[in-house]
Amino acid sequence: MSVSCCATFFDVPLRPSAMIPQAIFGIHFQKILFVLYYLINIILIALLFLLLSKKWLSFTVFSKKIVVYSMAIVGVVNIPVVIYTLIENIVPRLMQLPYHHCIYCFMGKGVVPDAPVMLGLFVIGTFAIGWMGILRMLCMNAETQPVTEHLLKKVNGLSAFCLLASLMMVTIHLIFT
Amino acid sequence: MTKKIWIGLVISIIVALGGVAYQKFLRSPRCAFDGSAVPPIYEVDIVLSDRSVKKYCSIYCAVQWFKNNHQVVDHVVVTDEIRGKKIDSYMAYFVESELITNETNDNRIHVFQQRQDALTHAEKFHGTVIDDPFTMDE
Repeated sequence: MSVSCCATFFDVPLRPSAMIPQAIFGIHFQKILFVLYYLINIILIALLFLLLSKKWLSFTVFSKKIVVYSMAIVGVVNIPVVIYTLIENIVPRLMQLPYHHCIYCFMGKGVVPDAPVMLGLFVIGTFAIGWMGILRMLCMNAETQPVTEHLLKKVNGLSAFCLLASLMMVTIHLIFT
Repeated sequence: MTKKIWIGLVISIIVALGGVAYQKFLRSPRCAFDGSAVPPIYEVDIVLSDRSVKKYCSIYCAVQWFKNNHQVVDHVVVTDEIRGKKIDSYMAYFVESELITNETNDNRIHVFQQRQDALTHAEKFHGTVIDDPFTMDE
């Protein structure tokens, strides 16, 4: 018999995924989280595409540093925002189970067959931002600069694509489900 | 790079639309509270005022949903554990015992059509006959 793993843990009113955002944003935390989810993801994707654009070459070293550091910060902030928004807003809507907030059921039960793709793209996109940061820190050497720059562009493109694709897939499901 | 991104995005849109189509047209019925498969012997059907039916895998799940939405419910149909027969909840006997029907939500409420079956179960599994959980206090 196939049973739910988590109804008594994830669906109680005092679940951590509801209490923590509620403590920060107040009683209307679900709406605020939903807005933040789109806002932060769009900013992050815009920054990633900015790094790929030709305008990026005309930036001064100082402005480049500001953009790269802000991207890293937004990338880190995006992780809890996406996790809480998924658990509180998106997962119940996509599974059409308004009181069930379990991300494992969302991933593994086949209720939403492409859920692993959506989450996988988000994970790769987020990790790629970290990989870019590590590459920038470790490969400052002038001799390896051309190789590093080429690699950075590829990882940057991968990150931008993964985050955009994940956001689009979630949006399509929210519109049509 | 741009071409590859566009191709990837088109593929992800197709995958998402495929997922939506599967959810809408192909998926078999699941518990309307937690998404589990619905075992026929424990099935609970909540019939709404607009005649649509929501299926649940256990009394626990059905009660959780019912508590929040009782105003749109017309009646509740439960399944007799002995014969698998579907009966209106107000005609059924409910027993809360030590025997668990669903290990994850710890549902211990059992449904019987015959009073004698309910009493036998209560005696065997140290349970007590309880009121219909689908009635709202006035």
